[in-house]
Amino acid sequence: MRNYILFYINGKRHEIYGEMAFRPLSTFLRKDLGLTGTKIVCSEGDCGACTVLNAGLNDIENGKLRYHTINSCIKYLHLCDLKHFITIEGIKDKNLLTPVQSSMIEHHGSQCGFCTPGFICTLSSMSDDCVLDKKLITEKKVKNYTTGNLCRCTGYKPIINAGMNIDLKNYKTLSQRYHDSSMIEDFEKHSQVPVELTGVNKRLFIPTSENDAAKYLSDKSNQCKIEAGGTDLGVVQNKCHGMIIDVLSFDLIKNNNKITKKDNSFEIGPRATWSEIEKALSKDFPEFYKLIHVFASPQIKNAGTLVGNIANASPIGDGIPFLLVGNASLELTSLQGKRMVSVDKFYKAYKQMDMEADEFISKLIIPIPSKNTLTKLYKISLRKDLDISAVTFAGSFVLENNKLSNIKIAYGGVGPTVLRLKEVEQALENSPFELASFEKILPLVEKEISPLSDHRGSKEYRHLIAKNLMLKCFHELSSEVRS
Amino acid sequence: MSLGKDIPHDSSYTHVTGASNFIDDRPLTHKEVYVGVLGSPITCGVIEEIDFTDVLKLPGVLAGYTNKDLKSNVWGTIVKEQPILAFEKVMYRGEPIALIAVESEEIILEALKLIKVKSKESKAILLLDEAITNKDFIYQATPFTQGNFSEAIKKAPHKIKDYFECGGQEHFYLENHASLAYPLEQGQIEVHSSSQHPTETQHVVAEALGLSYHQVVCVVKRMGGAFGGKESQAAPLAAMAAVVAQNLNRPARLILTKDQDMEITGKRHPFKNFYEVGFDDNGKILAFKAELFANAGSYTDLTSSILERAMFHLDGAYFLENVEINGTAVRTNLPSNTAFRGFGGPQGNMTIEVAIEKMAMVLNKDALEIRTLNCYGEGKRNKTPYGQVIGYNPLPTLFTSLIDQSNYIKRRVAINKFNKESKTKVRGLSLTATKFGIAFTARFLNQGNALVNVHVDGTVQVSTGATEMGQGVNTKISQVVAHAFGIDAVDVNMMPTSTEKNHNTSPTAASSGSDINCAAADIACQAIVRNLKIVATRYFANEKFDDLHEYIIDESTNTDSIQLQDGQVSCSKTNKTETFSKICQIAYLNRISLGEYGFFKTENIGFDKNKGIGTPFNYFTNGVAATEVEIDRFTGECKVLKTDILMDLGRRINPGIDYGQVSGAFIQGMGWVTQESLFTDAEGVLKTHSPTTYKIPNIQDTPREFNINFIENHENTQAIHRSKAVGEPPFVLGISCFTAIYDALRCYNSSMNKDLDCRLTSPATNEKILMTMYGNN
Repeated sequence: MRNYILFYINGKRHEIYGEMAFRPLSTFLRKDLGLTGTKIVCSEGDCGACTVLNAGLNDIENGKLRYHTINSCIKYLHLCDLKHFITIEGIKDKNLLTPVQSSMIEHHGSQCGFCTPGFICTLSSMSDDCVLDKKLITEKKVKNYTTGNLCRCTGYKPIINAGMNIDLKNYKTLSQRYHDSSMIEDFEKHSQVPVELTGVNKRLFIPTSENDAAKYLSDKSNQCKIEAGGTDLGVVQNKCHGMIIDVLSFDLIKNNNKITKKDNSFEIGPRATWSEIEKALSKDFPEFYKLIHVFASPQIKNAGTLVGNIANASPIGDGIPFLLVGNASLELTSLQGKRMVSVDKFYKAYKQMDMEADEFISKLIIPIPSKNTLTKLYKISLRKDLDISAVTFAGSFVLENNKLSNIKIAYGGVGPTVLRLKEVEQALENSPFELASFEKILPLVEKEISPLSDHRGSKEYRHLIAKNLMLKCFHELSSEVRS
Repeated sequence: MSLGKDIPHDSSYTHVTGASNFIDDRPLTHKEVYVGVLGSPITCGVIEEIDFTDVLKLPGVLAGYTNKDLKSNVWGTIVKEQPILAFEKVMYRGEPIALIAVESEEIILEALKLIKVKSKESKAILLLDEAITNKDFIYQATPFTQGNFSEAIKKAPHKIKDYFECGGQEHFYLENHASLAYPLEQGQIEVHSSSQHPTETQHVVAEALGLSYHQVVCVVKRMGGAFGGKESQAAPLAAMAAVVAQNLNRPARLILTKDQDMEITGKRHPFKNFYEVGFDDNGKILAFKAELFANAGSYTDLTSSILERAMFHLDGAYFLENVEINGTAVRTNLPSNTAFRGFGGPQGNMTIEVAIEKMAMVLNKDALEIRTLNCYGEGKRNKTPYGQVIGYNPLPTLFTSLIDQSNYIKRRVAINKFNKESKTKVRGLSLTATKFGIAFTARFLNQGNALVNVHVDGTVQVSTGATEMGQGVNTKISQVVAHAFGIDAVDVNMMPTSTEKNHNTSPTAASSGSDINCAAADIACQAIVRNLKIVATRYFANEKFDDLHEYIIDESTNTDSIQLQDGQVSCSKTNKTETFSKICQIAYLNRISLGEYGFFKTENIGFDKNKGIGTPFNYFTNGVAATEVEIDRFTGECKVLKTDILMDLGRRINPGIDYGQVSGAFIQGMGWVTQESLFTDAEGVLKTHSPTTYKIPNIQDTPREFNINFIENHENTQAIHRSKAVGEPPFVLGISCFTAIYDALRCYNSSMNKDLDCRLTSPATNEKILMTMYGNN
């Protein structure tokens, strides 16, 4: 057993003991290390000013670490075990600016400077990836990497100009510059040893096996919360305090971020991040890939997990409608053993799941749909990217001889949980694939949903959207089918 | 030459390396404490008791403070009516009512929950309509009139009587409000504040603490964005930090979280503007009448000036022969609304742009025809509703050039075709203009001072009243100073703004920061240059200087042959050259001053508020934008496909900085009219108080194609080196996104064979667009 968290910052080793482990990384950087280049604005992972780069044992490629961006304001130190972090202070190469930094200067990519360190970190991760993957920088790439960085001064255009003009020929990757095999050895050695650590009224357990995790959960005196990427719990802790008391983390369980394709399905480990899933599923699930693309920032997707999204059970959880219509199932594990439950049956009521207190999700299985299955996913929000949805939609149809069958329709944001619209599905079953079929079931859509009004949209708007999405779905599918 | 050069922002090196120092980046000093601010738990009513008993038991909590701990608890830029810490009467949810001093930042939230507040709630007024009916007016402006509206409207073949509504806007500067107060000897206070107005902050702090102004220094190194949100409202927060510092005799740091910042501080004023317009078959405006209502929130703050600027900009780019403009500001139980880039101008201007869209619906015409027909003329049709005659007017040229550059006519045809064919999408196109008046409309604010110190190594330190918030004012000043001395801009260092060096300054606002402070610095420079030229003349003439002989400043000296350029001082008569630094050393050895204080005031402006007539502006900054949008027919989702901007910024001091100002202002304006939606619930609680719920544009929201260009204009003799102010004018161009949506709705209605007319309120969120398309708005 180990009673400390180990990580490196800009190549320097840190061991963290006791209460100290229950602070956000950004606070540790700014207040303890005096690395004030990392800025705090929103404390909820939504603005990107706190962006730093990180990599751990899951990010080794050709013996070297590949760095990804994360939001340090919601990354608590107890989730930082065996990671190397690079902050804005670690970007400069000795005393020289990198091509990322000089391009930002030259193209006026920085005005007030408060968001700039975050943008520099993000554009550095883009540059690392481009060099390592032998890809060129495109405007789309610049935008996709920096989706999670807000800037209020520049209107982004100068930042796009700066990003497009980074001189990659003279760019040395962070992966190369910070390569240190002794650090990786240090991580490997430590990864064999579980962590048990206590703070003032706080506790952390990081087991190295599923069995130890199950044992810990079976002990009723542990009132623990399972924490994966912490992209939601970190926010809750920052805003409400006192939420993180007893934490069980799966970070040291080997291979639990693995995504494997077998027998026409994907098996996804509980610690697989959204980014890893986005990459792995891009070919077989193009619609889901599109949704993942807009639903969160790279920083969040590099930390957060799909299984976390499932276990959070939000009625507007963006991943859930797709899993509901896609016949996905979950493997639940406890000391008693393992059992399977379909995602469709998993949600019973608002934030209530078919999962006992001593169980945890150990695997997610998503079958690859058949060739003649049509899928459509929509996420409607005030802002297209990185916004919590007003309404989400998932539709899955088998189309044969211009007839629809095997219909599954799910909506989020229109009731206390994500809903399947069973009456609509039945009414559509065996209908011809034409506009009239979809128009006919609209009153049923209205009947089966019960949205509320809030700051994300009025009840009336959600009703209208819900109906319109059925029509949009038809129009878009029919143009896809035609082509 | 440094003028006109695209040199980088003077802080860019430290920005990209994370080394720039903002207030909360300052190292903790010995015994420093943090300040927590408790907001009112009720929206309107009376605070009867604040009990610190429980919170003081929490380890690390040192003290609690209320209004009683302030020597003076009232402030207000225009009307002194606003408490620093409200007590008996609270006016909005979250209004600061108490402070705590704690040893660790991490316990602030937990500690605030332990303060017990006894209060009595009374009915709050939250909606603008309710406030109008209620007649609780903060300010009623003198109307602006020109021609004869009531006669002209009678004769007009077409008439529209309608209203236009726009929402507020959160500044969303990335750096939240920050203040850090250090107690000095003899009760003096040095306060570092994220303030656009160090002088006002100094004054408010002094008054709150019972000090004279000369006992307080306010320092502003830089801000992480401000946009008007730190113009007036930084002052009370600095006073809160200072009162803790004074009471404990320890440094005190007050850093708001984003949630608190959004809950406590004011925003852009929402407006509801009623209008009546009469026009002919061609779309020529014959009569226009507007009645503006601004939602001021709880207190006056800067509202009266903001309302007037809205009235000044109601005309937009269009000549109104028969016009009447009225304005009223009403009080509601919301945070006191305040300055925000444009300062009411956009809310006024948008009214006429929307009225033109409605006229286009009535006439079923491209709104652009109406815009060019009514555009201010050159030499005629050039008098504003408040009597100022527009001098040099590039607007007609701007319109013509952008119609051409943006390929408007062809695109209009393509859009009509697209809208006929697409079952899922509808597109719209609009070209709008900005004509933004430059100057503070309160004349006394149009003054500034600068301190220029030349060192004997030929480098220069400059201090002015301008505050750097990212807009690059310091870079521009350094270029003007470098130009004056003929040296490189890297040899000019801009020093932190501080009231001990520059006092009685105006806020860095109204787009005038560069105009005023560059001019003041230049005046100081010219006095030093005069001295140096005399020194050089004597030196090149081989005049002797030693312990018995020295150069004197004889104003009659002819220095015409002396040039300061490229770090050299040269004489065309003697063909001699010496380095700038050497001449500075010689000046020093001859006991000639190398430091100057420059004072500048803007001439020939003045507006009679009681008559609603005069010349409030020094000049206008103009520009045009063409924006194309695409709307999803099923969801109302809107994408900006393309924007082309053409600006007139005179002779730009720094093209790169100006480009960034245009780009940034436009996207901010786009956010305001499309997606930035403030939601206050029926209890007066702001539900959108962080980026999770309040959505400013991100990089994916920017136009797919975004072009920014400038015209050459060397005619602006009204500003330093013939430049033009840039901060606010391009914000107004964001309105082109809104009018393009209107245009798309006109096309949609036409394609669906519906009545063309509809009403859209701002911001045009997906929801509002969709509900308008379905006639449910």
